[in-house]
Amino acid sequence: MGSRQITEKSLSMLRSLPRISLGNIRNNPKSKQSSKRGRGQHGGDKHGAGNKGSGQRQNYMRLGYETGNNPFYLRVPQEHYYRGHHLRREYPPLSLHQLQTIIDTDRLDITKPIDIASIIKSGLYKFFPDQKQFGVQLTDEGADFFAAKINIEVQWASEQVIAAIEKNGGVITTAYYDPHSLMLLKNPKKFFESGQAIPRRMIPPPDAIEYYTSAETRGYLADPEEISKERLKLAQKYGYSLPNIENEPNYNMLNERKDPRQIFYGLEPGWVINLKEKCILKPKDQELLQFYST
Amino acid sequence: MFRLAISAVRSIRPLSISYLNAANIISSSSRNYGTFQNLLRTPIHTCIKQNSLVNNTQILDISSKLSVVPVRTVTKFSLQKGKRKTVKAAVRRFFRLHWGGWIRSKVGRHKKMWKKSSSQKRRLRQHVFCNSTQSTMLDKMVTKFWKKPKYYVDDPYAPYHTREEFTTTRTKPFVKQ
Repeated sequence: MGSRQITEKSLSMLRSLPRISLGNIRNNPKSKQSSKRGRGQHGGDKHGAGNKGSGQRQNYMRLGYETGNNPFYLRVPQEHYYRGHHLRREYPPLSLHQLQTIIDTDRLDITKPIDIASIIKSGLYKFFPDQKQFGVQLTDEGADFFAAKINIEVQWASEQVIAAIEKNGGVITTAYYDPHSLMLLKNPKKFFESGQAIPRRMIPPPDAIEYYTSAETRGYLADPEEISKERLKLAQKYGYSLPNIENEPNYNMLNERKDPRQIFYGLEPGWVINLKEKCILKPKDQELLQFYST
Repeated sequence: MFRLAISAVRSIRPLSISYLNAANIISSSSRNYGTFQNLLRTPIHTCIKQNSLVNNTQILDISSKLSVVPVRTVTKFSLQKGKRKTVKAAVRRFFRLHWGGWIRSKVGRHKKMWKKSSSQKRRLRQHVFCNSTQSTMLDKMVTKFWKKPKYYVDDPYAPYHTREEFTTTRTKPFVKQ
């Protein structure tokens, strides 16, 4: 092996070896030794708390405190935006667009009257009666392309919504349910399993009576003749011809309403539903019958 | 509140026993009730004299009122349940919109109205947004109850709860009609 070969071989070896650069040089071990010995855990440093002041003293000031200034959250004048919130009734909205989607995806049977129980059962409407929520509020979003003929019962509806439903030959009623009966409507199975008799639906509170007895809002306590008058009035106002319900093949379905004391369609107050033996127990005692009928 | 209580205590002093008798207020037997033997010998209710501080109706009145000390800062762990508490002072002044913004009234809107111009008075009547830092702070001051959307009918704030009209803040997909 000549000297030339050796040089070439060593050069080729050098090429494949990692190079020393500014990026990877470091001092020889123990070549640099501090003349001071810091006390404490990390060589006497600040333990991440910074130098001087509030941070070093780990003085976590209370929320909103501005070191002696009048704090912002107390400086602003009082304005009771939330006054009486514990008494107000909430009606979570359901738009006509959402309702159309529920119907189109076949989660709602429109050959039967629709009430809050069937809307909750569709699984696309979140509802919590224990959080002062009192039922469905139908909103007019998507009213232009709503095209279903339904018999629906909601708890609150605007004029545009009523017009949009009646234009298609449908029927809408606004009805009040007390929180307890809403609990039953949300989860009927749980209630039937408890073995209790179905209670009566309570009458609306004083501030809601006007809404639910008014024919303009299609209240469930309104006079049916007044409602048919109002239906015609609304058709004239919004400029559509009111479809004649009497000639419909499903007239009976469209004309079906709940009793003001009734909670479930087809079930009367006072009945006990036995899920285990699949039978209904009805009261016979005169006193009970009188109690549940009033 | 606290200051009121102190001034009330001051006003009692002449009514109660004079300074010379002050030592007699605490009865000798109740001084050393800490030892177990004394406790057994004399029941506690017999230790207390008729006119002692413990029976003083005025002091009892004040102490019952003292229990409602106003707290205006956030409670992270309550005494009873260990839960976070809402700062009521914040809820009385601010309103949270569904999208997370907070609104407030203007500072000084009832002060020195005589010297303010009509345009300034008009600006003071307006309700404005809090900035991001303030909103974050207020979010920490309230519990989840206040952050839940509340759906009231005929809500005057309904148009402000959503921001569907702006492309960057829109949440629902655009529907072709």
